[in-house]
Amino acid sequence: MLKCKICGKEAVNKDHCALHDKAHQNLMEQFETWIKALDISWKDYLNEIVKNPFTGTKAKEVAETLLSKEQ
Amino acid sequence: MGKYTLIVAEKPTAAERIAKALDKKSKPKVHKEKGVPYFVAERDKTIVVVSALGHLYTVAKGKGGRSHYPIFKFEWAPRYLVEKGAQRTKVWIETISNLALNADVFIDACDYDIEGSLIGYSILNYACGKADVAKRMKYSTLTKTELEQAYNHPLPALDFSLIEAGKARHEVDWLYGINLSRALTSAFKRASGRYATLSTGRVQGPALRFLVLREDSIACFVPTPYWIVKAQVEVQGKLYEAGYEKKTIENKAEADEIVGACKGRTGEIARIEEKTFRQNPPVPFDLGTLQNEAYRLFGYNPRRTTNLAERLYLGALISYPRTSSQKLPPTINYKSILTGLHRKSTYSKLASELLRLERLRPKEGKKEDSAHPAVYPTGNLPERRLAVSERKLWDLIVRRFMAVFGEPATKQSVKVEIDLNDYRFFLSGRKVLKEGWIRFYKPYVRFDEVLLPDVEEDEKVKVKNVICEDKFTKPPPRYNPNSLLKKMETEGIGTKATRADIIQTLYNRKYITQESIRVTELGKGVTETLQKHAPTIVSVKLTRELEEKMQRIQDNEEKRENVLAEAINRLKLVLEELESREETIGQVLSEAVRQSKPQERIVGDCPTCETGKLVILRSRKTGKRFVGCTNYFKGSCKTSSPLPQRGTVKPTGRTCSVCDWPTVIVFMRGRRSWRLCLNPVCPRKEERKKRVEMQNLRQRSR
Repeated sequence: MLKCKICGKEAVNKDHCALHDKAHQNLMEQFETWIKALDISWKDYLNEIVKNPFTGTKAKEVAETLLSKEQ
Repeated sequence: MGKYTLIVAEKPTAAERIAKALDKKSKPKVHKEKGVPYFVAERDKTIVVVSALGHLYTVAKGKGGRSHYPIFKFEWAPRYLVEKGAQRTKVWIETISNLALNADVFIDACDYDIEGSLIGYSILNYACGKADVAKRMKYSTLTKTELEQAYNHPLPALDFSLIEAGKARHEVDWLYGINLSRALTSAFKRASGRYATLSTGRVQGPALRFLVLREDSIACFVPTPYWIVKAQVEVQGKLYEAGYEKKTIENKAEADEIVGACKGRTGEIARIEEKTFRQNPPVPFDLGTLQNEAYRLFGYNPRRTTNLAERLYLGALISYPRTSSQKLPPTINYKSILTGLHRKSTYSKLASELLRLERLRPKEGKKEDSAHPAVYPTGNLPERRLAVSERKLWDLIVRRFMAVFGEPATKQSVKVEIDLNDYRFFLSGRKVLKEGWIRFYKPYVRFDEVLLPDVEEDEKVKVKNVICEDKFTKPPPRYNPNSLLKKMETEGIGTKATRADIIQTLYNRKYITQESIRVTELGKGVTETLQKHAPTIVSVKLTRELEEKMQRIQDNEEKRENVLAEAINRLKLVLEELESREETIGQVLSEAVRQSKPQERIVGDCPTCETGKLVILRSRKTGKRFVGCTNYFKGSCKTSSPLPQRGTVKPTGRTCSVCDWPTVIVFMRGRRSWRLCLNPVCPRKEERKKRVEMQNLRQRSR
């Protein structure tokens, strides 16, 4: 059984469980809106998402993981 | 005492009211047998009124072990044989059986709905053996006039369609509840070797799933930025805030451009648009809208509102509250109700205004209920001093009743368009021109008037400032008990009488916490398991279909036996699936239970270090309970706070309005529960301390 790389639950693809996968999808989709709004880079976008108080816990965890890969 | 008529009411208070209404002198004799009260009234013949104590009989399993499942054989049995805490019902049943021996006429006077009909039927059938000859009193208020009317003209037989529907609901719910809960508990035990009560049910499962879905969308939420542009304009010496025509701007450069182009410019009023519109009175309360309004205005959760309304009903102050009707038929006699209310000074002016009307015609809603009208005041005044919460709810019901007879209100909205360097901004104003029904419902109507100065087109306005506010989209709001109840109502799951209790069960099972509902790890685990291995159980579709079928039984279009057989067939498939995967399910559940334990003790974020959590702990040395920061063990935070050593302490999920520290609620036997701020030096505590000292000083000086 494949495990989610963030929480260790059963994964639905090679990286994430259902919830982290959903959060990942949301992150990718909303990046377009952020580019249109602020002309922002991927890394800056992830930083903004991590510190935003309205970001959901799962989305924040995914953003943190992606950010650590960037660094 | 010769032969008499035996009337069975639902609760002791109702029995007393019925006896009082039917007795010639309104003074029935009170008797007690083994602590069970019954009332003897004299009328054309002797009438004995005895009450149930809620359900005296319940669905119970046939033979089998405590943890054994599936169970499809059941019977109706006295509650004292089945439930540990129901021993008191034994003497109740014995008393009613004894009283039945000398009775020649039997009347069921329980509340006229599914539950009431079932309570009355089971007593008359199992305790008296007279269900086939019993008559039925039908009433919506416990007032003397209506009770006399109901007694003089009873329905010739019990309402068997309601009874069948009630039996079906209890039996299906019991089958689902016991089998699924045992399946979960057994799976947990198999995986962990321990026992934990894990339950689910036909309505509980889908309700919890709504919450989990909301929890998931909050957890996966990604905010996006947007901007709001506002202009502060000076009109006739006063400052006003005008909003840009596009309410939200999704591009920072565009927002900056607007601000740059408008700053320091002079505006001109391009257009003034006035609209007058009528606002109709609200519709009468059904239980759902009453619960809604009481939550909005007083913060009462649905269960509390139901309990308060029940007390007002038993006090003959309002009509039967468990209704879905939004209709007020003329037969309730509007005039006599208003005349009754007129006796109370608070309402006399408003009531007399309505009484002067040539014709009283209520504004009614669409919803109907064949059993009862909408909730309305009876016109009686309280015979005892009402508690504050009771008084508030009664006042709300009285004012709503009067408001539905009011004229429509007339309101005006004004929109002033300001041209600012070819960018359009708007000032909005609103006021009430004619109050109409609002006068009757005034304390409970929120309408903030915004009055604008008299301006003319082409008039110049000074622009003081143009600002751009940074905003972010927010996640969907969490459900609260009230919005969850509304969601259940919209989705057609549960009934008006059961929804509030189901929400409470979710709290009791520790599947959810806090007013702004959060699902615990345990709640998520149970839903995840059922969603994966028994998706039909948490699907709204199945529950709604069953609700519809039970309604069909009530309408005499379906047989109880068919609905039961279908429910059992569906359940069998689900249980087979659960049993075959018991090991896996058990592992998921035991992980959920393990994760939920520490979560229950968290009271909130630590306000000192801002990274740790404040949790309820016990001192290893003294065994005393206190709150400490999780960062203590890392050596980075020593925040701690004492707790009361007696009673139960539960996190509220809210922070103190003065110092922003987390708060807990303390429950202690014999005392009203209270909210406690964990900040040992909270300014509010200091204030209270000073106040108490001053009071003590004053008392001593006297």
